[in-house]
Amino acid sequence: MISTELKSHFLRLYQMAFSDDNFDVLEMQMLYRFAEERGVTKDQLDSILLNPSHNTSVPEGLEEKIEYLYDLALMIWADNIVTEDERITLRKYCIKFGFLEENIEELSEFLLSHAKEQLPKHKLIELLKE
Amino acid sequence: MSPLRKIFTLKNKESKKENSKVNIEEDVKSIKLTFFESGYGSSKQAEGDSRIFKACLENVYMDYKGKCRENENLQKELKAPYINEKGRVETELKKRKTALGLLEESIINVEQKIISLRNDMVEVRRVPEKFGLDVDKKPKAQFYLGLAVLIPITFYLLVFYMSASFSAFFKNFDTDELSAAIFDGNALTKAIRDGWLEGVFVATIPFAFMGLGYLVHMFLKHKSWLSYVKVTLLFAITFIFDAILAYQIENKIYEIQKTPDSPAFDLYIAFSSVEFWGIIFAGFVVYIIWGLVFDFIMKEYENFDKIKTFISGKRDDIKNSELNISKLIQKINPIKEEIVGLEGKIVDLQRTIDGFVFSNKHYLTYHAEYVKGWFLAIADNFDSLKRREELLSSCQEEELKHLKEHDIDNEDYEGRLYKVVN
Repeated sequence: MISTELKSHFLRLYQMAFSDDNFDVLEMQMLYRFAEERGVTKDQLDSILLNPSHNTSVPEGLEEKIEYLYDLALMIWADNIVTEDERITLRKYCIKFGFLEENIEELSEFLLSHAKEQLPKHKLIELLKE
Repeated sequence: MSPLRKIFTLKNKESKKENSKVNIEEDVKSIKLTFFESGYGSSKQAEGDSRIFKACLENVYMDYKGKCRENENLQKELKAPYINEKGRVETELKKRKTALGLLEESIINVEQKIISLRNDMVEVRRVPEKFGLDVDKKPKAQFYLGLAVLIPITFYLLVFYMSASFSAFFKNFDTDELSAAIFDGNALTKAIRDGWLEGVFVATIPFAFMGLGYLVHMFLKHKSWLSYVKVTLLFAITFIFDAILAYQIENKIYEIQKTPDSPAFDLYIAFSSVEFWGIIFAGFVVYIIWGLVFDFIMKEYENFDKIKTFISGKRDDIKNSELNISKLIQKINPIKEEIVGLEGKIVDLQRTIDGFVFSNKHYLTYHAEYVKGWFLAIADNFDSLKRREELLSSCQEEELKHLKEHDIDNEDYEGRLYKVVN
């Protein structure tokens, strides 16, 4: 059983991939890779994306919030282009995840810069704990 | 706190809410007092007159309505459920659009698949190698040519073996029949005349040879050393069988033609006889030709059979794909309907958000304060109980009328929406 939180995450990732109105193959591949990382099969992911009739929810824990947002940043970099729409979408999600509005700009840039370098997720979390 | 940690600070929802709650409560208290004072003052000035009370209530109502519209914080608070609802509906809409996008993409993919399948069906006739089919490009022409050769040879074999087997097994040679020793035009009729079993035997023996030819084709289908051995054996058997027929016929001819000093008939005499080889060549060699032509046209037939199978397979694929498309379209239609519904809902909510919300509950609080002030002034300023009662009851009537007029006499009613109308 996949949690609503995870389902919402994949829908957000999909929306992110679509936010530049051009669904790149690389973005699609990344979406399926994320699903694989979280133990979600291709069929399950398809059914999540095709049956959107469930409520969305935001993760509670700080680390989870950061992990999910970082996934979004990685998704933005999947096609090696960062569009303004994608930046706006990321900022929007940062606000939705409950981060302070005055830090949103810095926060999204931080995530994007590390996503560009393809920093592994656990290292990003370690950075925060330092 | 490290700068990095600072970036990741979360909003403190609780304390903010508390603060705003305290502020609002203080605001409400002071406003309530103002309304009370205003009601008291006006009542004193108008000496509690119910007509003036009516006008004052109207004034308070309009005044509050104006303030309500201008009060951004209040509007924000009142509109919050609508804004939240709009956000929720927008998310729902996005999800539906995502699904729609995915479904439409799958339809395009299936349509492209159908196009490529149709192209394959056309192209397989032109370039069968592309699809792994090892066939001739003009199988039909070669097939019909082969068939045109095979049918006469089949008749020839039928006639030859009927006649040869009749001569070998049943014929009694007379000297005048020697010219027709090998080929007897009346072999079948003669055999039937001699008995139906003989007739059946003579009529069916050519099929044994054709059966052998068919086996050659079947063995050559799988090209291995074993099948070559089998084919060689088949040819050898047919040759021996032919040779026996020839030997018997030749023997019968020899028996009639022999003189008392002629040696006994043997293989050597048979092999040195022209008729013997004539029978072998007229039968066995033609049989080999029949076998090869048969093998050839069977292969050609399979060739265009292969293409036919390929095309019918693709046709099935197309049917399945079309079925898939109709299934996807069935899924799309309800999603499209939902999208239209959600978009309508968003427009409606946006109108509410762009307009303003008049809160009955809030108004009633202030209205009650004003009325309280008015009534208290009547009670304070009129000593005559009768006059006081008169004024109070007429004012109360006016108040009820006012509430009914503005549809706020029902306390269950939370707030009235003033929407922006396009």
